Amino acid sequence: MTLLHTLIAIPLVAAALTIACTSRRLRAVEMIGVAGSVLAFLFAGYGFLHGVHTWEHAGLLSPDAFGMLLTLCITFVGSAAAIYSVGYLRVEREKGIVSARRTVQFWALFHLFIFAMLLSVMTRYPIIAWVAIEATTLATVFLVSFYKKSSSLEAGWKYLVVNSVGLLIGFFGTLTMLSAAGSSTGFLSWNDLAAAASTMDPLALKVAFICILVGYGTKAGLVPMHTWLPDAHGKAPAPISALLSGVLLNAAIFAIVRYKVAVDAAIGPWWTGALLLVFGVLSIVVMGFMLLVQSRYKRMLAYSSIENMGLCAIGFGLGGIAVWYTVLHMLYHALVKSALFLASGNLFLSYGSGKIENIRGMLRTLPWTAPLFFLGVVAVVGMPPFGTFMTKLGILSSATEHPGVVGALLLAVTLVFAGYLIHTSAMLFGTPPAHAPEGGAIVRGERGWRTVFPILLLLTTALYLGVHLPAPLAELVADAASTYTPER
Amino acid sequence: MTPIALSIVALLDVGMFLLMFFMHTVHKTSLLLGAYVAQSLFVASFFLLAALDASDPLLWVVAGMTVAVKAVLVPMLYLRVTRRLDARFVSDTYLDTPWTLSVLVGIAVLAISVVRVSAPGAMFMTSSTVLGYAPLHLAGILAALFLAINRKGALSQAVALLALENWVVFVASRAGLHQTLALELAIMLETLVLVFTTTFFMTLVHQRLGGLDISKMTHLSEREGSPTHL
Repeated sequence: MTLLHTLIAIPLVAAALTIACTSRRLRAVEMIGVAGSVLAFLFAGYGFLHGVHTWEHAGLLSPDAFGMLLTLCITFVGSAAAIYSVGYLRVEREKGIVSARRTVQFWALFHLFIFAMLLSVMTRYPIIAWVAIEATTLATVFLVSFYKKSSSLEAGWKYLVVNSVGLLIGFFGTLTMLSAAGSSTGFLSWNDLAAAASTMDPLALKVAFICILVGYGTKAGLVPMHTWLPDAHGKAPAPISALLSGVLLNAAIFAIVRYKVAVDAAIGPWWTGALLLVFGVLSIVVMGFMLLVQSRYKRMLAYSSIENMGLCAIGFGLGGIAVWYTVLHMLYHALVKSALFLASGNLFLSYGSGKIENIRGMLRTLPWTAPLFFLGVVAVVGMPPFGTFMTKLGILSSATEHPGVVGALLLAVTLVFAGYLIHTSAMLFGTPPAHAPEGGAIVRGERGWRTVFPILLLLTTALYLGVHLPAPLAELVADAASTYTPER
Repeated sequence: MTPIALSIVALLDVGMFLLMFFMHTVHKTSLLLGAYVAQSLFVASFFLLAALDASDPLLWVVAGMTVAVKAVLVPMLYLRVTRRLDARFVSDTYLDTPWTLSVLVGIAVLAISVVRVSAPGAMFMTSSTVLGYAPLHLAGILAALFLAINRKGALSQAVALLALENWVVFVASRAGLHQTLALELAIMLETLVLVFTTTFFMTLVHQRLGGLDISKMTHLSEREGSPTHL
């Protein structure tokens, strides 16, 4: 069994063990949850340090540098979310919100979700990537509707239908591209697809790419296919929202970019670049305004994720050095947004409300979460010393040939900054309310180290990587960027 | 393919498209499911013709699997849910029938125009290519998409998703991408998981809303006033 096979088998085995444990052995389920996630990260880290993506091609699996980077992101954020989930679900069980049986279901689906994401970024076949991305929808739909409230059921149904339609369109695009490449079996690797690009019919490629952009763009939450995202990310349990926003969106963007390489090789980068710029600009501007008027903090974070995916689309659309900044931005966004969603879970545990207007005096109520949440906001709006400052500035400076894009970026950055500032300052300061809106007292203080440490870990890592990018990681980012930078 | 096989395939093309019209006009769940079964059988028939043409035994297996899963298992599962939830008439639409038919005509015109403008060559039929059917295929996919948007019932939305999937597989196969066993297995697995997921969801939605009419799902839009979790 190869390293890559072992890595991808870990979440599957963890899911099987979780189901076998049943609700009578919750401690064991939690241990499997954390151990499985951390072990997957350790394997990914070991593989990365030994350059597994450069020499190992194991059957269906053959990640390139970008795939390896996303594998690291998925397993690292997955580990943080797993540790957090233990603390979060314990409090929810104490409150009687979830049962022991539901906890086991949560963990089983959690592992399957991680497995599907890993498969999507590590596979060598576009068709398997599609199956894996679709599998992420099916694994997470029950997590989105985890609380079985009317609103979460609605969010879950919307998520299922919109994403299934989107991904079927993406499937059509995939099959069209494979047909155009002359594959009679459907099993053509990413490399073969790029190699066959010059022989493909340009019209078929254009049709295929539009379908792929709409399909995977739905999963990535690009405007106007984003309608499911704020609801799903807002209604899911906090650790799942962290994974959905932090890493799943990256996996979807990655799929689009992989197809872009093939289309660029055939018809030049201007066409796909223009399409990505249109979707990207639309996403950042619309989301900038939406962020300003949000009344719920999880939705505010979800809209911010769409804005960041729009930024990524712009970066890949611009090409050149912007691709390097974008790859790095995806890494930073994964860490920071996950931390913010985990912090939002602590807000809910303490205040019992998802509305911004009910969150006052965070600094007094949550002495660790409040400053961490503030730091996360500082990072996500793109302020120094976080790396997002450099990446946003880098993408902006790369867009000088496109005044419209620069204008849209500046407008979006301003709106996002204003939106976060207004909402976060209102939440941080003031006097905490005496009672939760749905009855019960506001709980002061943190709920144990498990609900704080993962946030601290993610933000510290983001801060460290923003100040100093270790050489092996810098090399990986450069490799990833160079593979997906079109030649002009 | 032989001329007779090509003629049969042409009939399948037209039949698939006419079935979409039928699916848009029916309001009874069993009829909608029946139309889906017929559509799946059309897809399986194409695989059978391709199997005969290519003398590929694996394509027989693919055709058999399509019949077993899409034409037998999926309708059985949905009919069971329909009976359990007493949801025989859940196929209401946002647009009434005349408007729905008008939109379908519009879709057909749009498909022809798009193909005519972007690929004039694809308008003309030859004996060896499927290009002549490109407008029909595009219209079919758009009509399936419209079915998913226009339906108020959760069950009929789920059937619309499966109909769209049928169209995608059919068009890709017509374009020359043969269904391998591994690919078909993956698609079947996805279809089954999707069916189980939607079935489970429908039960939950029915428990919460007392029906399967998704137009009554208003908690997300009324979020300011409702004391919902998160």
